[in-house]
Amino acid sequence: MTFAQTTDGTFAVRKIPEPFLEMLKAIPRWNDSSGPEAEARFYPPPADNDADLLDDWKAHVQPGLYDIFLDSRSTVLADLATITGKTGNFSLDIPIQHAPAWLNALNQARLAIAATYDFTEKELSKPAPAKLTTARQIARLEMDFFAAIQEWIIDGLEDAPPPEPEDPADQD
Amino acid sequence: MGAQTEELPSQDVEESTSLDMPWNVVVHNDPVNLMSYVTHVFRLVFGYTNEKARRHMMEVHKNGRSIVWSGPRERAELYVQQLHGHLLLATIEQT
Repeated sequence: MTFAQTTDGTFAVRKIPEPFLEMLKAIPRWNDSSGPEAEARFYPPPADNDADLLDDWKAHVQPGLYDIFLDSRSTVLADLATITGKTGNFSLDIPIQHAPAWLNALNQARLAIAATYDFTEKELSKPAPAKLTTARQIARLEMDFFAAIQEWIIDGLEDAPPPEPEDPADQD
Repeated sequence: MGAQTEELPSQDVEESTSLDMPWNVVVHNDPVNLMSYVTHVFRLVFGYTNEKARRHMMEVHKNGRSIVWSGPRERAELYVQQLHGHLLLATIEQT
């Protein structure tokens, strides 16, 4: 598998083997079908011991967050639908404009996997096991694979001009 | 009566001072979020330099939390909302 950025900034993944293709295709599923633990992690409380703020947050902020996550998932799904190639040699293009959506969706997927399999900090500090015989071990590898893509995209974005800070008022 | 009118302004002043106190945006450690990702988000949300963003990220990593911004409550809430949009564990707290 190769990772390269084209001159127009597109993140190009080439020679994707079948198992990794399946992992990529699973990203939207992790974004969508997470259990209650993952849901709790996607929507953490904004403060400790402030019931009024929490109620307000659930009513007015969480729907906006849900939309952000849904947009990211839709963007990733659309890019996954453009995958070309044949067995052992699939290709994926991620336009640079879609990079934030991919970072978001990959992070969400990793959080969902960690919550689903209840990985400890100690487990996460070690590399994925070489032996892959259980769903848990495969999930751990999936986390590392998604992390590698995140690192690659971040590196690619860091080479671009510094980002303008987001305007918090835009999210009203 | 006279004593009551003297006490009331004093309470008002106290409340006003409390409301004027800045609020902190606190980011908490999460073993899943990548260090590079957290740094990237700090740069994106606050416009911090790479050095400043990395300093806050390391503080989160080593101390479990970092106060990444302080100021009026409304803006602090908006920053927490943005950080949650990037899936960081963030809260507001009064100084």
